[in-house]
Amino acid sequence: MWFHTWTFALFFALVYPVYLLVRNTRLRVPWLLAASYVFYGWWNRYYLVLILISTTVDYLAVAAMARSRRRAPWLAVSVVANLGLLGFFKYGDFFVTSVNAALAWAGVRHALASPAVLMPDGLPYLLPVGISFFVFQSMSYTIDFYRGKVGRAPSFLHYAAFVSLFPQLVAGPIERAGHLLPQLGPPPRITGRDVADGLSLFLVGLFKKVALADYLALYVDRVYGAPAAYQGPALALATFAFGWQIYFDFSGYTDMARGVARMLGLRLMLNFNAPYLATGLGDFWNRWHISLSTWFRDYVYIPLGGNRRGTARTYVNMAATMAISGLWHGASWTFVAWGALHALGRVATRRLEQTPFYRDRVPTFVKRLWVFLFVTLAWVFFRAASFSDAWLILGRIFSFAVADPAMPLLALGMVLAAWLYQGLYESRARGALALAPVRIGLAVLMALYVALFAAAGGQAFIYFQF
Amino acid sequence: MRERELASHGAADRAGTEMAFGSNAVRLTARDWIVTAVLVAAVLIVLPAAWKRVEPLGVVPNWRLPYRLGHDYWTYARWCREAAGEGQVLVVGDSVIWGHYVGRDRTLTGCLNALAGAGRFANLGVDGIHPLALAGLVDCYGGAAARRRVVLHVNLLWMSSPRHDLRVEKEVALNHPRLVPQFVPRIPCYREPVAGRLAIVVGRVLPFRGWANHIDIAYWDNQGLPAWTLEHPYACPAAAVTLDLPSPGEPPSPPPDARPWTDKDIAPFNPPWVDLATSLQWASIERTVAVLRGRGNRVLAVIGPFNEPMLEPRGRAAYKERTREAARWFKQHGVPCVVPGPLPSDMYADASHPLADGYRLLAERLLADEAFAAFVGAEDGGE
Repeated sequence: MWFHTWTFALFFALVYPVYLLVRNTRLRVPWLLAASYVFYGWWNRYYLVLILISTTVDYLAVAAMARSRRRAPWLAVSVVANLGLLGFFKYGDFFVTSVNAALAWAGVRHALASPAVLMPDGLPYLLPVGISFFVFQSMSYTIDFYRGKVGRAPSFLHYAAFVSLFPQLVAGPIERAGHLLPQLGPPPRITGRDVADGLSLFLVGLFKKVALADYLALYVDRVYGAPAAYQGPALALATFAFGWQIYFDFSGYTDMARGVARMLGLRLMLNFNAPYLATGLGDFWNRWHISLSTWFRDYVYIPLGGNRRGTARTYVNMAATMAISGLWHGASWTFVAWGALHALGRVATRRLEQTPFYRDRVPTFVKRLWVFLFVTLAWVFFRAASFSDAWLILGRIFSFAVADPAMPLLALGMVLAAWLYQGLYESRARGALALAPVRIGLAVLMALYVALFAAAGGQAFIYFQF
Repeated sequence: MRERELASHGAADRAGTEMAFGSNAVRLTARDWIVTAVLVAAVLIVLPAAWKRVEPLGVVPNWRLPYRLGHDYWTYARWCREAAGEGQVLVVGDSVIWGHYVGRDRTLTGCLNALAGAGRFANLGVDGIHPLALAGLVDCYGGAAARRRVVLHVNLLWMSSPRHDLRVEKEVALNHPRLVPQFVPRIPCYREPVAGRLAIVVGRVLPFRGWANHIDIAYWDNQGLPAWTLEHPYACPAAAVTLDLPSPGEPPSPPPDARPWTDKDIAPFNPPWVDLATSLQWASIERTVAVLRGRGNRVLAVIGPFNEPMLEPRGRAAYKERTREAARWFKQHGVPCVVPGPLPSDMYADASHPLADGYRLLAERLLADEAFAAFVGAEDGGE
């Protein structure tokens, strides 16, 4: 059930009025939980078993920690259970395939069986939608409780609602218990401002998804689907387009999630903040998928020692964190390569970004341009179906051959307009964008485009697969 | 201090950003939303209505829905309104009425007009439509025909097998899926996901969606704006909207083989007919009649004529039985019904489509039929 479908519109039209009616009663959280489970079970009812396992294990682990002097074993139970779920469903096949390839390379005739054989009869071995998101969200609760940063959830229902909250369940933002759980406690005060804000966020997110991301996807899919058939200009533009496609797709989902949550009286964290205006790679990760970046910072980078153990160790920690982050995005070596590229970039530029020369002397547009170019080229590994495709694409891009890229000018114009808008938003002209005629005019244009020209049904969100 | 530096790997301070609206200023107040909603609604209401004034339908004698606009139901509704406004007898049906193998002047309505006087019959057939879709077409896009005389053509070919009846469980690519019932009755071979079905249902009740589809079909190669620009990357989409609709004389693509079936190496066959009592397609014919009569239309049904020599004896007997049954149903429900006898077999292109001579002969027979003549001679108006 995607946000940009009529199924969701119908679902929300049924859920929301009841929510408003019961919001000041004890039925609010159960209703939210029921709606969230329907939302999630809509894809596949078997998924509910997994989310229930993760929720129950973490809730019981925290309950046990609260009663026990020795907390570490219970934390280990939670971490192992969650990473076990993630590992089996997301990385099982990848692991087996990689090991078998290595065995074959070494001349060993033995091969591991597919993890699918471990599934109970009749149940498919599928990657559950959004498993990386809810597992991380749930695990952060046990870790934060272990660290004494959050208290216990008021009840199992509250905790289950926190883990499965439907606006952000399948593609984030990955919320922390300390931020979201308290919002599920007292009845929310839902004002007209909340509803207006929620609708505004939803409209912008919807436009990003169906008008921009899905449009760019047509070109990207065509070129990346058969890269050998295209020359450098088309491959370069398709890579440029993919960078924007994934941004519009994911940030559009986040906007819609935040909009829906806002209408429910809940506030989800900001997840994207004009990342293609970043002036450094560190700045980029401060603006891109913020909830994941901060998760890895708090639960991987800092526990590894962060920057407290000397320069060399800092770089090692940084690189390890980025590589894991890459793997989080998908069970493929190309994702690891993508993460490693970013790690390399960070290691190489961290010191530079801290120098007065870079901070004060290099023009902002140059910094933005280089970050954008680096990030865009790194996307090649993220999007390419294989390493051979990625090398082919990079090779052709840097061959500087001249050929007609045949990218729709309209799509290019829309991307540049969005980029310009974000640039203006971060400039002194921001005030002009806040003028009522500008805001309303843009809202009207977006609504009309979505109503008249966006493809019905639309494509799935890219980040659902993670 | 050093720890804070660590924000290198991603690090917006959540406490600082959670209240942020995002990197855009499109934050509307309740009053802004009202203004926005009014403006959007005004455009969506006015645009399709105004469009009819700037885009001529180009109606000529014996006009029919141009082949390329076969899925443009917004234009169909326009044509329906125009034909109904001129008091013509509206002839509704599938490709037999539309005239798949013949030019627009040699269709059944073309021949009827040639024999009975120009402009008396309007061709409201749609190429490739089947009864399940026809019911949706009449229901959703035929409202302008209320209280008019409607000749409903019944092609029993759609009940000649479970596959034609759309009762097989294996997925089948349906003609006109946007017109078929999306939820009830269930069509086993139609596998559109729920989200798609809901979008279709919503699209039927929002007039601007029909207009948007019209623009897609008429000017953007039935691809939609984004996909069209992919094929024409440097062209201006607005420039492609020339306001010139395709000609109703345009032949189908690919051009049909308009030879008699006997010249095409087609062997007689024995179709596994379905019972009318359980047929999805027949139930839709009943529904179409109910919709039309509910709107005050006078309805006359014409069954066939089928190319009977193309059927083996057992299949022919089954066909005749179903024809009798269908005629009985119409009679029981007070709908005049004409069952023309079969045409000479070489006047058919296939099992159900007459060729030009066949249409001419059929028109003559219909005009000679008492019930038909009485129906055509009667006034429009409710039953």
